[in-house]
Amino acid sequence: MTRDGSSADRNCHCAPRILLVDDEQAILPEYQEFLELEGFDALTTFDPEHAVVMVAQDPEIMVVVTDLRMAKLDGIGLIRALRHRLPPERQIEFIVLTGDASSQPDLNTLGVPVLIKPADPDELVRTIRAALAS
Amino acid sequence: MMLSGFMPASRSAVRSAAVAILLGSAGFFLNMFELQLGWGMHFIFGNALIFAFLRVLPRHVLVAAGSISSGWSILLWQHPWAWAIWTIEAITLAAFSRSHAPIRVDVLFWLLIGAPLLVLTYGGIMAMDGLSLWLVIAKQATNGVLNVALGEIGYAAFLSLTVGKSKVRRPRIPIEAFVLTILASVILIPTTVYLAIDAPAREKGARQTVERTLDERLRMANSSIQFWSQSRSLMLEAFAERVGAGRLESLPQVPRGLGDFDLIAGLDGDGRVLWSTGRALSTVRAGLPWAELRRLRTGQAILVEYSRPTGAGYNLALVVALRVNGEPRYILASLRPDALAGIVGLSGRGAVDGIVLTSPSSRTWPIGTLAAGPSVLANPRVVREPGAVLVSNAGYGKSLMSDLKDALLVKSTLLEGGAGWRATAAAALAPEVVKARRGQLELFAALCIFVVVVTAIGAILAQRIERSLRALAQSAADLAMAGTRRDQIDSLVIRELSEISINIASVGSQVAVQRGALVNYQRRLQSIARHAPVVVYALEIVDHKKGRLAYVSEALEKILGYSASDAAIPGWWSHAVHPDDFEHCQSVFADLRPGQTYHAEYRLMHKAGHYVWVYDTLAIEADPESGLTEAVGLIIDITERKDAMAQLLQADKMASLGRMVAGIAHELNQPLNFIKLATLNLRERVNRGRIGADHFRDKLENILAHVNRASAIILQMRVFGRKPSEAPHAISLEESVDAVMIMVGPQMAAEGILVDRRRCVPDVKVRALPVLLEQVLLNLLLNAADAIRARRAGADQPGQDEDVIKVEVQRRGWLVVLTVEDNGTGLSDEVLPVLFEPFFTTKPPQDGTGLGLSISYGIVRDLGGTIRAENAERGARFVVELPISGEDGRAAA
Repeated sequence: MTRDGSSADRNCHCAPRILLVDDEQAILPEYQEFLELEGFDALTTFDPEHAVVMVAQDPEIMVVVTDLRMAKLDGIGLIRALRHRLPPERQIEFIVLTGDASSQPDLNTLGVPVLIKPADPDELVRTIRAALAS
Repeated sequence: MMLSGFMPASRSAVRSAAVAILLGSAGFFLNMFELQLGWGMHFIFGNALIFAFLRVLPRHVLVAAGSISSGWSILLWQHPWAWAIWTIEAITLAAFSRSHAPIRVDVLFWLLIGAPLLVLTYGGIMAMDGLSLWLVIAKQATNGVLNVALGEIGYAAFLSLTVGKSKVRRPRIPIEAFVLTILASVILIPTTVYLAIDAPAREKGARQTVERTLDERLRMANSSIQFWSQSRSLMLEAFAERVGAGRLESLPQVPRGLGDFDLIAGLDGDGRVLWSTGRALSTVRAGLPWAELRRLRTGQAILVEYSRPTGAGYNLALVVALRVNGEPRYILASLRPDALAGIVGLSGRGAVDGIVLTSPSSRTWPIGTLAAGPSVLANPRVVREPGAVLVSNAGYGKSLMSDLKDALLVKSTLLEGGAGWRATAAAALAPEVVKARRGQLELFAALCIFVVVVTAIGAILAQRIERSLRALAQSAADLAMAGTRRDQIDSLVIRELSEISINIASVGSQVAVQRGALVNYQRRLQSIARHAPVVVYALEIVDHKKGRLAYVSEALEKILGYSASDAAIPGWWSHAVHPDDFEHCQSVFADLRPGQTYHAEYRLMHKAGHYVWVYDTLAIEADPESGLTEAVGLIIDITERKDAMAQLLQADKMASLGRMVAGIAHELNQPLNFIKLATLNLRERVNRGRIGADHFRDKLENILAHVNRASAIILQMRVFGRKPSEAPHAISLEESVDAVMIMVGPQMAAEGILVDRRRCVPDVKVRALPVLLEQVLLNLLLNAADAIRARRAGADQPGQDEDVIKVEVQRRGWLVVLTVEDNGTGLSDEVLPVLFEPFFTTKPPQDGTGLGLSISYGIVRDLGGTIRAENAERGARFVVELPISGEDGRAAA
């Protein structure tokens, strides 16, 4: 665990850029703070449609962590939209955070890691690193 | 040809004649058995035999037979008039009896023909006097009518004997004729019998009366003559002594005391005259009954007749026997021709009248005025008979005709010591007969009048009977025929009458049946009231409010433990109602109007102290007769239903919670996730030693806010899941919607379902348990969300429409109306009718119990409201109407 120097990491270009999408606005600052403390370059948004725009415009975003149940566009819809829109050469990994995995049977067909809320933050970090490593 | 054609008619005529002669002879023979009614009056009955065949024999045969039969009267009375009149009677009867009642015909005949003919013949030709004529008319008429009546009775008897035996159809006796016959017979037969007994008695009485006067006269005559002869013999003896017995000295004069005599002479035993007054007589021997004289004792005198020497016929003389010196001497005193009247005068009473003295040689010497010639009185029959003899120059058979005018009753007796002398008296019978006949006539007259009157009345009566019988027969015939219009009307009337009578009868039986049914119904009702778990009660309604308890059934004790007398205590009900329900009850039963029904569910305290849930329904009826208003109510124990309902509610709530679990888990995860992250971040910053106090405080505040949020959700879940223990009370419908939104709002928002609330201003309250009302709202909102999800799942392009659930609360008069409208899939026609049925669901088994809407329906109904479903423009719409509670509701009105 190298948590020290996280502010230095943020400025450093080698720090991987991660986008976190959750329509629960109140929690987003806490997620951002946590991921930054872990040495990631974290971006957050509560609007899935905005998230699509952000990913498309920012090629640095390497991992997208998304909530599953959202009002406008749910997590699966977001993943499918991004995969559909992004050029095939773009390497991007997805991680799903959800309160109730059983309610979405389609989840397994996506082939993405799924974390159950409230997710253990360490596991989230591990999963992100594993995704970056692939 | 002609001969053969004539033969049957001839044979028939012969037969008719034979029948007439046979019947007439029989009648003639029967007439001999006459019924004596005194003095030549007879009833004869031969014609009754003829009249018996009035209806069956040809007319000419009847007339001939009647004529032959009546012929007997010619022999009886030696005149043809009675026969003639009876023959006319037979003709009349034969002519009219088939069209009219014979009795009536006969009565009219005697009134109009018979009586005038009798007056003409008997009165005119035979010169019969009035009394007898009237009597004859009455008698003949009565006899004739009686014969007709007897004939009718005979025919009736003949009919009754041959009825059913003979094939010949014989004419019946019409009602009128029969009635008249009965009346005439009833009057005439007993009267005739009475007359037959009465008439001889009258006859005998009249004879006896006359005979008594005869006896008296004869007795008087006898004693007068006795007295005269004795007194004269003594005087003659004395005279003879003075003359000087046995010596002829001179010619003495008849002394003054012996004025009865015109000649007195003394005779010796050979009849020589010894002395005499006046001219001297040589002898008077001739003509004296010497044998009798010699038998006389001295001083004895007898009356003798002798022929005068002058040759002037016979004289009466008194001879007194004497004995002078042993020689028989006789004093002969010759009576003056008028001296007999003097003898009568001796009696001094004048009663000795009409006496005839008859000498032994049958010479008659009348005294006084004689009723008949001496020859009549000298009738040998009179002398022969010891009693009185009726002497009449008319025969007894004709005595009616002659009225016995010259009929005498004659009686004769030997004079005492009269030596074969007889005294004969005669008296006319006529006065007594007339007297008796007058009585008889009165009887007959009364009888005739009676017969005429009764016949008239009988005729009228019989005609009426016949008319009504004919009318009866006519109406019967009418009924049968029903031909003409009149008949149809009659039959219509009759049919209506019969229908009415049938109706009356059936109404009567229905009344009886209904009375029986009523008794059964009452018994059943009492049984129900006793055994059913239902309290039946009746209240008086005063001023539109509950008044005195008039009746309460026994079931009250079973359900609530109170006896009827407990419940009768004023204020019992108010006391027993649960305090929490009291206000509600007050408001429900505040204004009771006739024709309305009121109901409420509330708790009543059992006598043991616990509360029992009851359903109370009260129907108000105005009695138009008494003007009172009465209410009949039922109280039903619904505790079990309430319990079952509560269990169902609980099950449904749990199911609802189950349906919310995913959403609730999500809702709880959000704050928990935040709290975890925030605390981790805090710990990391504290570890790294770079955190400001402000940042730290903000983070803690955020954490607390999220803890509170989770707590609120859990609290609501707990409240909702709890079994209700509180009582229904007035609650705000908006608050209930708020409470439900806490549970489902975040979930909806998370799914992008907008809940569009339109609030009611001002807020209204309904009386309910909050939990139950929330359960209804929850069911409706969850269903709406499900419908939207179902539409989304079926839609090709998600997110095309804005998913909205409209929740609206409105006020409409007494009601508050809650509408929950979604834009989901809507309700199909198959679903709509069964929507509120238990266990109906459109969802897969793991998602729904099928109880939600059914339970909601029950809850709303219990609150006095309604719930219905319909299709909106897009999706479904559920409308719940609830009565506005208490003051709010009344304020609205």
